Parts: sequence; C-alpha cells; structure tokens
Amino acid sequence: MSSKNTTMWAIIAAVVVAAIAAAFFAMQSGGSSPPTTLTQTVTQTTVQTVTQTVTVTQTQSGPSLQDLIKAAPGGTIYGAGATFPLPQLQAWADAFNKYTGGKLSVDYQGVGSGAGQTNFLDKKVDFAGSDIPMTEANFQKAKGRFYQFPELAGSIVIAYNVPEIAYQKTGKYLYLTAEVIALIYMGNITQWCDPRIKALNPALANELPCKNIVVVHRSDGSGTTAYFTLWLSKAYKPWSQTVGWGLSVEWPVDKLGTGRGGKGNPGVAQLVEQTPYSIGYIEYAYYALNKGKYDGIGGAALVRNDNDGKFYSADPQYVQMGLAAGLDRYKAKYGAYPAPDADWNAVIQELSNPPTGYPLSALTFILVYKDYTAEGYADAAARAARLRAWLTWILTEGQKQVIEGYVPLPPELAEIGLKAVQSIKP
Amino acid sequence: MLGLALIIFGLSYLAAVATLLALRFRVGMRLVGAVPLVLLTLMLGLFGLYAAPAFAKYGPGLVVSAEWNPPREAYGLLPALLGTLLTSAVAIAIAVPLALSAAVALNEFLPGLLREVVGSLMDLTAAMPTVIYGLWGLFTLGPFLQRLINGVSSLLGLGVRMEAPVSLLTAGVLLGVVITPYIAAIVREGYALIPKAIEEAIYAVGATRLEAVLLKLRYVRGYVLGGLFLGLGRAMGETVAVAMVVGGNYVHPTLNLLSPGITISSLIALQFPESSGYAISVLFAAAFLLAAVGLGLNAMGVYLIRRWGT
Repeated sequence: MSSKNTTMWAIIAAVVVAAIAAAFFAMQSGGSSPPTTLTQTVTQTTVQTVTQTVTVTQTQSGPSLQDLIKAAPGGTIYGAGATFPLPQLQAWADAFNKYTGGKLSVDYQGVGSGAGQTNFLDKKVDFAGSDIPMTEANFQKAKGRFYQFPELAGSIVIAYNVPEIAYQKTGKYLYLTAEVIALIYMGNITQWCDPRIKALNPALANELPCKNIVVVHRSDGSGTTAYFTLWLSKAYKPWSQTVGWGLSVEWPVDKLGTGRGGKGNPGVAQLVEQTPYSIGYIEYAYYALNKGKYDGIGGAALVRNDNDGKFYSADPQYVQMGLAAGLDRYKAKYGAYPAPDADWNAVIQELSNPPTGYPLSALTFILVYKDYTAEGYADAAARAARLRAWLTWILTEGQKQVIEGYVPLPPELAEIGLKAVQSIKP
Repeated sequence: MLGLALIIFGLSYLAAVATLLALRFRVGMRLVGAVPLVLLTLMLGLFGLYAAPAFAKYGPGLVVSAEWNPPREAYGLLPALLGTLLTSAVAIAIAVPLALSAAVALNEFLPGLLREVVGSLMDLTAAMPTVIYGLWGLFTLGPFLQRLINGVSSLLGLGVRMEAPVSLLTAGVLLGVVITPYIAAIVREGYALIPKAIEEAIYAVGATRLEAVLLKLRYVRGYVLGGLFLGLGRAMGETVAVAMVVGGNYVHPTLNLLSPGITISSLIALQFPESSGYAISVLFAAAFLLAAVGLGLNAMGVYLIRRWGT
C-alpha cells in the first residue's frame, strides 16, 4: 500500500473514533432529561383531596408521603421485570404521575422476572419487579445489599370446561382439593367421572361425563406456574417428591403426551374456553374479565384449604385472609415478621397453603438496593429520593387503587415494604 | 435522540464508504462479501461459546433425550428437534403446491390489472407480523382442524383423535400458510423471466396449456427449489406464531402430528425470558442445533440446485 493510502486510513480511523466519542457524549448528556411540570396546575385539586386521606393512613414513624414527594427531584424512575403486575404497575405509574403533578414519572418494562432480576443485579434499572423472590443463586450475589418485599397480591383460579356441569346449567361450581388437582396434573385421574372427583361433588355425581380430561398448563416460564406448583408441593407431598416447583416444571401429563401448553395467561384461558373437558390454572385477573363466559361452559373450582377443611372461592377477601394467616404462621414459627433483606424463598413457603382462607395465592415483589451510593449509581441521592416517594405511594395510596383481578396486600404485609422503603439510602 | 441516531448511523456509514473508496475495488468488494460470512461465523461461535457449559454437562444426551425439568436441571432437546422437523415438513408439503398454483394462476390466468393487485396483496401477506397468524391459528385454524379431524375420524369409527385445538399439525398448517407467499414470490419472479422465445417454442410444438405450464415450471425449477429452501428456513425459524399453537409439550418425543409438541424456535421464545442457570446455556445449545440443522438443509439445497436446477 502507498503512503497515500496510509493517510486515508488514519483519516478514517479518526472519523470513527470521533463518531463513537460523540455518540457516548450524546448518550451521557441526553439520557435522562427530567419531565416537565406542565400538569401541575391541572391536578392541584385532586392532589389536595387525596392528601387528607393520606395523612390518616400514614404511619407515625417516618416522613409523610407529601414530604417524600417534595424532597424528590423531578425525573423518571426506571424499573423492569415481571409481566404479571404490568397492568397494575402501568395504572399506578399513571396515577402516581398525576398525584405528583407530573413531577415524577415511572418507566416500567415488562421483561419477565428472570430478566428483571438480572437487570437489577447489573444495575441497569432503579428497581425490579419479580414474581418470585430473588433466586437462591442471585440472592447470594447481592446478599445484604438489597431489599425485597411484596407490593401486590393475586390469586390463581382452577378453571374448567365441562359443558354438562356448567354453572349456568347446574348453579354449582366443582369442589376440588389439592390432591385431586395434583393427581389430574400427574395423569392419575384421567376422566371427569373419576370416583375421586365424584366423591367431592355428590350433587354433580350423575352429571359428570366419562370424558378424558384435557390438562392445560403454561408453556412459558411464569410466576403463575411457580405459585401453582408451590401450592401443590406444600399441600400434596407426592407432588413435591416427583415434580417440585418452579417457573417451569416437567409436567407428568406432558410425559404421557396428554398435557397441553398455552402461551401466557391469555393462551391458557383461550385453550380452556375452546376445549371441552379441559382444566387449567389462570390468574384471577383473566378469569374475572371473562367470568360470564366460563360460567357458560364450566366455571372456576372452589378449592379446599386442607388445613381448615373448608372450600373457598378465589374472592379477594379469602385471598387476603389466606395471606394474613400465612404471615401469622411465619411469625409463630420464626418469632417475627420476615425482614425485607431476608431470603424470601422461606417466606413464600409459609404463605403458600396457609392455615385458613383461599390457599392458592400469588405475590409479586419489588427489588431495591439499600444504598444507591454504595452501589455506584450516578445521581444516587436523587434516585433514592424518587424511589422512596414512589414505593411509599404504592404501598399506601396505591393499595387503594388496585385494579380488578388483583388483590391489595394485607396491611401487615405492606408494612414490611414500607419499613424497607424508608431506609433506602442515601 | 434523532441527532444521536444520525451521528451513530451517518458517521459509521460515511466511514464505511470512505474505507471502500480508499481500498482498491476488488479488495473492497471482497471485504463486503466477507462481512456476512464473518458475521455468521461469529454468531455460530457465540452460540457455541454460550452453549459450551450445556454440552459439557449433558453431552450428546442433550440432543437425544427428552427432558425439560428446571427444578432438577435436567434437559433434553429431542422433542424440540423432532417438532421442528415435523412442523417444517408439514408446512412445506402444504406451502409448495399452494405457492406453485398461486404463481401459475397469477402469471397464466389472471388479466393484467388483477394480476398486479393480487400479486401485491400476496406480497403484503408476507409482510404481516406473524403474531397475527398466531392469533388466527389459536382462534380459528386450531378449532377448525379439530372439528375436521374429529369429524373424519368419527366417520371412520376411530372416535375423537384430536382432543385440543393446539398440536403439531396446527403449527405445521399455520406455518404452511405463513411461508406460502415467500415461496410464491420467488417462483413468480422466475416464471416472469422465462424468455418469450421459449414460451413460443413450447406452444409451437403443440403443447396444451397444462403441458406448457408443466414445461415452464420445469424450466424454472431452480427458482422452485430456492423458494422451497427459503420457505423451509422461514418455517424452522418462526417463533411466536408457533409458540401460540404448538401445544408446548417439551418432554414427549412423538411422530404423531395430532399430539402437542414444541419446536426449537418456539422453545427458545417461550423459555428464554424466565430462564436461569443451565437452562440459558441449553437454550443457546438449542439455537446452535437449529443453526446446524439449517446450515445442513441449506447445503443440501445448494447441492440440489447445482445438480438439478437450471
């Protein structure tokens, strides 16, 4: 190559370096511009009316929600993670933005619990959402440096499509137990007229058809599957020995070739609706929206709590009852409510299959760091102040604005999160 | 933000152009030609690198066993491999005749303006997001196939054979519909390029219309093969639409089209977001496997086109 070419190369290299440098510079300066406060005057009235209710619910310890919002510099709070609470988090983000007069906004991406935990550990977000607590491996990586606490509860319903015994026709829902549900998912109970199902439902015994049960489960990894299988593990021992629990599990019915997987809650709901003689587990939120449809083709089972022997529907009040009872059991066993920096895998073990109430509940968690300066976040003080305002709002005001299908936390569970939020540093 | 994008893309584009100008033309063109090859190698290398822990832990068992058990970290990809091959085979079996007839009908029978309109409509279906096809498969195609199969099997006295609308067959038929416009577009291109002289010669020897069409298709067989392999690649790589209708059974290797199953691509799409530990490595191994199978099939395609096309 000639010397002319060498010069050319040098010029090219310089251009490339300059471009990259310019790009980085632009990213640094233009990345997080604070949102404008244009809506302040518009929302003034609503802010004032809500303030009164807040002062009532605020706990004596710690600063008030108003002080926290005042102390936080305007800007955006970034989060990512679980998709289960996504509709609620979006509704909360809207309401919170209005509540603060547009000063603070929240950007939450539903990327999945696993990706949320990874993003959080990589410090790509301010907070993460996760349907399950930090996994064992992730917990060890960040042990003692972060808080995790539930921000919202939900429940899982067992929906079935058996036209012969549809609620609209018979006026009755099926009664099911953990054992029977486990045996259906293990492929031991294969027909709707199985004597074990009949024994639980004497009133429907003559109408239960001798048709094969089409067993539907989630085909993607999900918190719904985790809580469903956790409950089966706790309530029916052979399940924990053969299948276990997790975001995805190896379904015994799949091994037999009779299980069907649907993608996401809508996928499972759709499959159950379309497939006569099917059974599936879905989030209460998806069931609540289509209750009428399910009543026409089948319904949602009343599930027995094996500890008190009663059958419960997935009504939010029974779900809250179950969560509170589970929390009490934890306190009785360990002497105190769970700490927000503890390994919550032990906690959800106690909350699942509680002494009383609807046994099949689900929680979803928020992960935040204890000290944002120590974690090396840029602008740590502002981030921490915004997070304190947002998370305090979620756990107080937000719990009153829970959209249909989700369940507000029992107060004692919300209190755990509130304490953690107040000690976020700096 | 727009300025940033302009800086990044504009400057790197300028730099690339300057590089090419500075080099001699032949060297420059070779460099450009080498880029896809380098990218492909890097991609495969990356898959291999991420998949290495899985291959080291499970060995060849990963490909020949059927497991998906994250709580116990036991994995095997046989059902996904079988599902990929089965659904793609069904898709090709449905799409090739459909695409050939579409191409012939467009070029032979439809008048000028209508040909343009129908042709663009077909190209448009190729551009539709596949999640739309997935929804259609879940709501319409699946239940329809279920009624059809069960109706026929009841008539034959075999009882209910398809218990749910989701199955490998549903996924295969859906894929067939998805890839038809791709294959048709390529065959149409070839068909339109048949020299007038050849066409006239065919009719001059007294061929009927059917014979003429068959002769012309034989003339463009290279295009037919090319379209087939493009469609095959498309079918093997489809994720979301398949994930919605394939039935999501990861552990039951089967050749029965009416049972639920899984394909490699949909397995990756379904499991990646919530995976941790070895599962991630296994999913990269699955991607590696898919790339290997795809390369193998395409190599076969190239060989066939060389040997038999043109």
